[in-house]
Amino acid sequence: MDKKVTIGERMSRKGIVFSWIYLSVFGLLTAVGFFNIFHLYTNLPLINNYIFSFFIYILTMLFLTPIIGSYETLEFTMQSVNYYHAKGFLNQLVEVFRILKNKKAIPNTSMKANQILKVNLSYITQFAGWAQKGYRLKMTFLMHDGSVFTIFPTSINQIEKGDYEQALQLLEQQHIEIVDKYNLRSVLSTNSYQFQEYIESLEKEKIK
Amino acid sequence: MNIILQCEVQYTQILKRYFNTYFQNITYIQYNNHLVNAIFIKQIRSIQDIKEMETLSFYHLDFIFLIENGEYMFELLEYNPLTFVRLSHIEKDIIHLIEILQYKERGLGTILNFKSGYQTIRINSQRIEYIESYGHYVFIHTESATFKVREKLSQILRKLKPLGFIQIHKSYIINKAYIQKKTSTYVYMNSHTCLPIGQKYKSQLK
Repeated sequence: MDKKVTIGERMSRKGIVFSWIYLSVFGLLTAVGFFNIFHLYTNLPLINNYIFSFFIYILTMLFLTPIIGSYETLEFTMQSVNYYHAKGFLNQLVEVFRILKNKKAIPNTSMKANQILKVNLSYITQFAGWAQKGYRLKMTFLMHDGSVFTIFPTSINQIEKGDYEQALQLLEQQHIEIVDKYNLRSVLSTNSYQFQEYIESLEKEKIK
Repeated sequence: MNIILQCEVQYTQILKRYFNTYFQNITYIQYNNHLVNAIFIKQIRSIQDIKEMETLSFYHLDFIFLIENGEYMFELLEYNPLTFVRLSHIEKDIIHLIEILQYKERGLGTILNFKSGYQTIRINSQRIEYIESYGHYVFIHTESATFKVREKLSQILRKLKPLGFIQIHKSYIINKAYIQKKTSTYVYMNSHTCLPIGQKYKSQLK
């Protein structure tokens, strides 16, 4: 059987339905809020209030639905390395409808495994809005023809499941060299907290 | 073309010999001079040279690295070099370098950078086999990979037309170098992909 390792979670139809039920609470709260505003401050007939509130509900749901569609996955097989992601309001909304229609996902990047020469593991520093420093894994794929593909897998929570190690092993089985100067591989099989701690220690070493 | 050479004397001599043969308008400028619109050829010997690159990267220069081995290759790729020249294969790699510089001299970029969501893609235009339009996106098919970019087919065609690319259909642009066989209605690429020829674009293939 063809081996497949996936990093990151993919949304299912069932997941979307559950998320919709959960998000409906926010939709209803907004609709009820607007209903009361219309009722208190306008002289509209009650039926019009209901119609307006219903539209508010639909609009809120349309704004919230793309949140469900946000995903990022990296898929390793014996034939290829596929990277899927949906970014931006419209893309995420389209993604939700794609899953509901049960259409096949098209990878944003698909690299032929037999064309990969080396994979480099490194990291980048990123700052959150409140000046908190964090680190993200960076995977650079160097192909036989000299092309370079850089991926920042954000689904770092998958570290706990040990998926990265399995994925790297799968690449090694295909004689692809893994360049790991910072020895990140050892922490990729622990957890995200240790991953951040380890890079923090590397950064401190650099300053010394 | 302005060139800054920062390498050992023996390599400087070899490079100058080739450049003077292939190019007429070439000016060698000093590192201390005003660094604008120049090609910086730098020999990488240690990690110290890479640290120096952090300062140099503020100037919008085109870099070419002379390397002994692939030890610092991934770090150097951060600076989007035009190419690498391996010191062990210097004569062979210089020929490739000359080709790139000739393209550059004619105002043609061979290395294309694309941004696709969280991902950055750097690709040699000559590796592109064909480009396919898909809604608001285009799929770029190369020998080794396929990737999706949010760009217009017409914009890509403008960049690639001088490099030997032609449009054969409202949804397809192909690299002429990869054509294996063509009939009146289809083009067969080296990867055995069969692409349709649009009525409007038939004349371009003749």
